[in-house]
Amino acid sequence: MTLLDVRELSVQLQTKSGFATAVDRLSFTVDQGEILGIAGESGSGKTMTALTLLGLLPPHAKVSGSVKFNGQELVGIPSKEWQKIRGAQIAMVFQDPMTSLHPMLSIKVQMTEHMQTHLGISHQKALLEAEELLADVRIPDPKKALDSYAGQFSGGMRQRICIAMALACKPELLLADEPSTALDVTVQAGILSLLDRLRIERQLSIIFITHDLGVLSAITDRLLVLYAGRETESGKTATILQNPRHPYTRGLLDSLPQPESKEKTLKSISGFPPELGKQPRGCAFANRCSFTQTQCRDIELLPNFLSDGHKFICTIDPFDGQAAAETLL
Amino acid sequence: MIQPEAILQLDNVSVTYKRTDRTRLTAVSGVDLTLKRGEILGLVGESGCGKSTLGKAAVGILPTSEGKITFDGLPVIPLSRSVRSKELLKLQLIFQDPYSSLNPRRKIGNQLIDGLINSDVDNEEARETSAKLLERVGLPRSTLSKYTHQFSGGQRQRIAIARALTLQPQVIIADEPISALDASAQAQVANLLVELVQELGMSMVFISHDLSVVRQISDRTAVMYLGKIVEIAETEKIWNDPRHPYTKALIHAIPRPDGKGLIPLELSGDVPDPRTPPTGCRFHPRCAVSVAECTIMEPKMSLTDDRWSSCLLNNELRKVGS
Repeated sequence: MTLLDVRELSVQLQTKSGFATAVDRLSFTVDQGEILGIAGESGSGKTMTALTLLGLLPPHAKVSGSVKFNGQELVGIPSKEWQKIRGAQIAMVFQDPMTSLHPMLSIKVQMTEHMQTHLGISHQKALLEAEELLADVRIPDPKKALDSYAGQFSGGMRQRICIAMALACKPELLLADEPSTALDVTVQAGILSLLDRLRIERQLSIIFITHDLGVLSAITDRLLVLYAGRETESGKTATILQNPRHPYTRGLLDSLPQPESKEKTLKSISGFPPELGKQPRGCAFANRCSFTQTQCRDIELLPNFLSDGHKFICTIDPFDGQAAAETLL
Repeated sequence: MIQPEAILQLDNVSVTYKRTDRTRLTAVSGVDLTLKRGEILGLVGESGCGKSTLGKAAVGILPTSEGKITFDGLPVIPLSRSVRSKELLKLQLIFQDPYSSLNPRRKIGNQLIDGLINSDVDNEEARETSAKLLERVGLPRSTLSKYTHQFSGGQRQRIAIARALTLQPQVIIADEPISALDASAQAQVANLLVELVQELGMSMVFISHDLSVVRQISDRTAVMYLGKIVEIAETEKIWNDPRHPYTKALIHAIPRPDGKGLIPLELSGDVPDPRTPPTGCRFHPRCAVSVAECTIMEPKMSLTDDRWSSCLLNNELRKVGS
């Protein structure tokens, strides 16, 4: 069942030199119990997309298109309506558990406040539920943890507390923005298996945002690769990682350390992504792509659809089986 | 004993922090480590294992509580108010976060020539050297008269690298130089460091928690756990045939972008509090294969089958013939 249906979503932010497009006509869906990965570098629009889904965009941002959550249109709803959804039906886990928890308030206070507001339950009941949630995310001695402060926990434990906090009002959709990037690999593995278990046990839908393709490979069902606010490639995670068709996706994969390679250097995509508001006409990646031809910069790009929901937006398609054979000749 | 091929050698180095509550925290405990000439040595471990402390102690930013550090035959003395000897300036550090290691209120040119001013060159020459270094790290000359906020994270780290190079160092200790950067900038900056090390004939200790990058660029890898080195070997050997259970756990925790949907193995528990390290082997509470002896006997770094590791099961308790 489709839980979230985003169609032609555009977000424009106010800057000194007028409005700049941060998210450009993005469409995607998330099913119940599904994990969608959004991949891209900083500035690709992945965090802005998440903030749109929480109604937390900066003031004066222009949003167009449609975001349907459980059939309800979210674009343009008043802030009173957002308060019923944000934190309750759609919750978020942020990147840095060191800063997203309040250092001077006990975990108890931070965990129960929104439960009392959103669920309308008593403080006593909220405390009991908070204890259960902490146990569910594997915090040792949850009773003691409730009376502790953020500084008394390690990074991994703090992120588990943040996840418990996000789950407190039983959301249907969890937005996880780089939730494991600040953690050690050993701890990250634990957070990934926790999220995967929650997805299964609670039929939770998750949008997992990160630039780490290894993490996305481990946990997501489908992937959406963003570049400069635009979709470049989307489809099943396994298909995209094993057979990427967009030069940017391939560039991202190639820039990861290659265990088999004897080379001492890493491959990298040369140049930098375009600045906010300075996306070129045509393909935004054209300036960094090694396959660019004139048509990349001129025409309105049309998506290519392959089998199994695999889609990519590139007019050249240099990694098509046939095209590759031709270049070899 | 100084090994002939060593440019930087640490003998039994310990670093102890005195905490405000009067407890003592030994972040680095009896480490022996050698950096060979022309080598890139990777130093990996979880956060809190003491790898940054070790890096800072190695250049003399932090005083050691025990042990000896030798750089190119000279003892490394901790930083003090007196002028640092020219020889020791050939040992330089690159910090993790270029957002805080560069001064936001001074022009980049002025920050670069700081190091050169004490070395008998005039201002004009110092600016010229700095401009050349900036060009070498891929930034235009005009950078000299700009401020740090005008640059992205990757560019700032290039500036920090250029600054470390002004005194023509022989050894660079890079403390998590790419972990604050974006994915594509990470590869570019790591490549730049490798190129510079090779081109200028330097040696480098590359401290990182990202094992796959260390695998790609370093000649040898040292694995650190709770203040001690637990395994060291040529990078390929560490990866293809890790000997210490902790090294194995680290390698298995790395997610692979193969689209197979496998969640990597978690290493349960956290790094213990270094104020009260576990008895015996420091890794035993989290170790998958520990035996009773591991809780009482402290393993020593030993050589077995041509491989250095500190695990009782590999060395002291190893059954002959098994």
